[in-house]
Amino acid sequence: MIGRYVAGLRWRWLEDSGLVFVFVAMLLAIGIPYPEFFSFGSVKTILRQSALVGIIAFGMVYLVAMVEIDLSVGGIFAVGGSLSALLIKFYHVDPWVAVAVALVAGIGLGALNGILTSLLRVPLIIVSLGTLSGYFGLHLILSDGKAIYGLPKNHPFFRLLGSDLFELPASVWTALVCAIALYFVFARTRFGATVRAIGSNPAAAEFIGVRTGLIRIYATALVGFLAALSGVMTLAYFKAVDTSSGRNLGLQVIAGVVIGGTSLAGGSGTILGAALGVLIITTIDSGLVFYGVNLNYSEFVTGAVIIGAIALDRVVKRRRTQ
Amino acid sequence: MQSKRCRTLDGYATAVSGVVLLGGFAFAVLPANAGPKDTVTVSVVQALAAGEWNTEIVAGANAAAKDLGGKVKIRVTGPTTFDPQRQAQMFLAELETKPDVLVVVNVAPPLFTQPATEAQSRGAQVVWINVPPMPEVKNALFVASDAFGMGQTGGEIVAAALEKSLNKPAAEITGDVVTAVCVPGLTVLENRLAGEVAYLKKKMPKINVLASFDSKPDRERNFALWDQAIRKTPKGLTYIDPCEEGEENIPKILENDKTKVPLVSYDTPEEVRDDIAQGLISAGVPANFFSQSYLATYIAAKALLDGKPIPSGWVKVPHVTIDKGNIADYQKAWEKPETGLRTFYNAQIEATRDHLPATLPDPDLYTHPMQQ
Repeated sequence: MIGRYVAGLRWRWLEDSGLVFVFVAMLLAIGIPYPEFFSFGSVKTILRQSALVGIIAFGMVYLVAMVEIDLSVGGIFAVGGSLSALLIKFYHVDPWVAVAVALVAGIGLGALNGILTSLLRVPLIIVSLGTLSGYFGLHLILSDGKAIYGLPKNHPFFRLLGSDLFELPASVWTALVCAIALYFVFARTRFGATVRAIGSNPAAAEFIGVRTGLIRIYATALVGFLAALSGVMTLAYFKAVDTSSGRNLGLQVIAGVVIGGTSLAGGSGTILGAALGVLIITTIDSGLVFYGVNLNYSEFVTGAVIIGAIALDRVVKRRRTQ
Repeated sequence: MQSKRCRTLDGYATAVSGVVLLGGFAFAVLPANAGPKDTVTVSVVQALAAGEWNTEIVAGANAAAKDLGGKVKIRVTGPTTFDPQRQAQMFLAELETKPDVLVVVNVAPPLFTQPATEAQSRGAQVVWINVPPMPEVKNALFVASDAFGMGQTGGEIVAAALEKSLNKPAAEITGDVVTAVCVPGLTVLENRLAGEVAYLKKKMPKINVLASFDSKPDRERNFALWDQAIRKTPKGLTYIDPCEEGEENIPKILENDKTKVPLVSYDTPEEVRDDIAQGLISAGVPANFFSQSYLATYIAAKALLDGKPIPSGWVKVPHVTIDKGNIADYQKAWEKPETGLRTFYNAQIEATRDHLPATLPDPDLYTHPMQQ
């Protein structure tokens, strides 16, 4: 049994080795001319930012493997943070309880995406175009369009989840636990197999009795939970929620998953790839800072580096299969 | 095949639509009433209808309406995300409600040239705050603080603090200054930065101002980018981001690193106010959006109520430095922005409102401050 897991991991490692190569190349390209990039503080920053995006990206792998995309994750992320902050600051709810409520709300909002998709019989991307706006609107309603600040910083929730554990940010440990759990669920459980089966051939999956609608609701609820979890972890670190929270997050998540090698055609996915994809995106941002790229060129350079990374990954993969 | 009844209904519908359209058009092209008005409707078109920026502007407009004895009705609209194109669309939609004055929180002047021309052709008055319109928009009333001047005041505060902490005359100070902008090309941000950098370079010619990087307008990504920038240049003399997110993030990063350098903030949300109170930020030089909005509303509405033309040119709103000396009063004022900030800024408001020069400066001087 363990041998099979190890073999599976090894196979996945080989599959993702192109991305590992790209990532290492980027690290060296930045770190050699700018050694401060390798400082522990710098590495921690990249890991923290990647973890907050990665937690959601790991769930998005499930959806993309089902040929679905959820654009509303940034909204659920924002609601997760603002709902917790609202309950803590204005209703004096214990932070742990507030966070639990926010996570349940995340599951609910995610599930609502899945339910609407099944009821309306339209792709999730279309439903989430609407709910993206709706959830950001909910975030503004909850926060009254203002930053929520002045939370009890000394409460164990903020001290534990907003700080470092064993020298690494708590969000990194959370992302690691999520990655391992979601990898095993995706690769080794019946639910994961069903998700992949729906992505490979939805008609065949339905024909053999798979309840595709229900599985989609489970998957969207899972993504909702992860988005809210990321929102809560962000709240723990910043001790504040901003009206700008979560903007552009959806695109970063999707970019991480797709750069990571999960096929938009569905049927397969890679959690490790998503992690690498997110790390690559975050590292590009750092590279722009360390290289001091001119403001007007930074978006262009970001795009060019992403295309270059994807191209390099595909070249490495092709060479290996030849 | 259509029945006769349907064709008749279609005919009625066409006729009614025609009458409505013609009526609407005739109303739209009517010239503005030049006589005194009994009441005035002012529509504030926000650049971002969320956050304390929004609160401050709405409070300023409401305070002006109150000071004019309830004869002014305030309407507020605007996107809840930073999207100037959508703001321009909402401006045009607001125009359809036929307000007497539209106060635009201008962030992208080129996008408003055509809508403003259309508004003026319909007899609506447009007043601009934050940054001026393009020169194509004639006879514009522009009410704003001088962003370049705010930057220079910020530079003055930082230079004085560096002289004190390094115990050296400014001319002898060496080191790096790290800069970033979260939305490249935004005049108000570029001018704040340009003002501070210009002052610092003039006062401390030996310093090295690094090229600005794109610090992104969302809190989380801005934090990560600034964290990296501080890792790259840990011994910076100061770190400048004229955006709210950066102004909130930089003190937090420096506090985590147990480093302290002089910092100035050009926005003063609650977190920044607390940081000023705790000494993490040396001072705030906010754009005073309360007074911008107050004065724009007051001057325009008062002119219409008196049956006079709205003046054109730049009404310069004085900026007020917020530091240890007045932060407690400022924090208290924010508890009830409409009345609190009205009292806090009373001296600047009355000095500007009641002593408007006969000829106001050209708004173009805001965009090209070096000409001043």
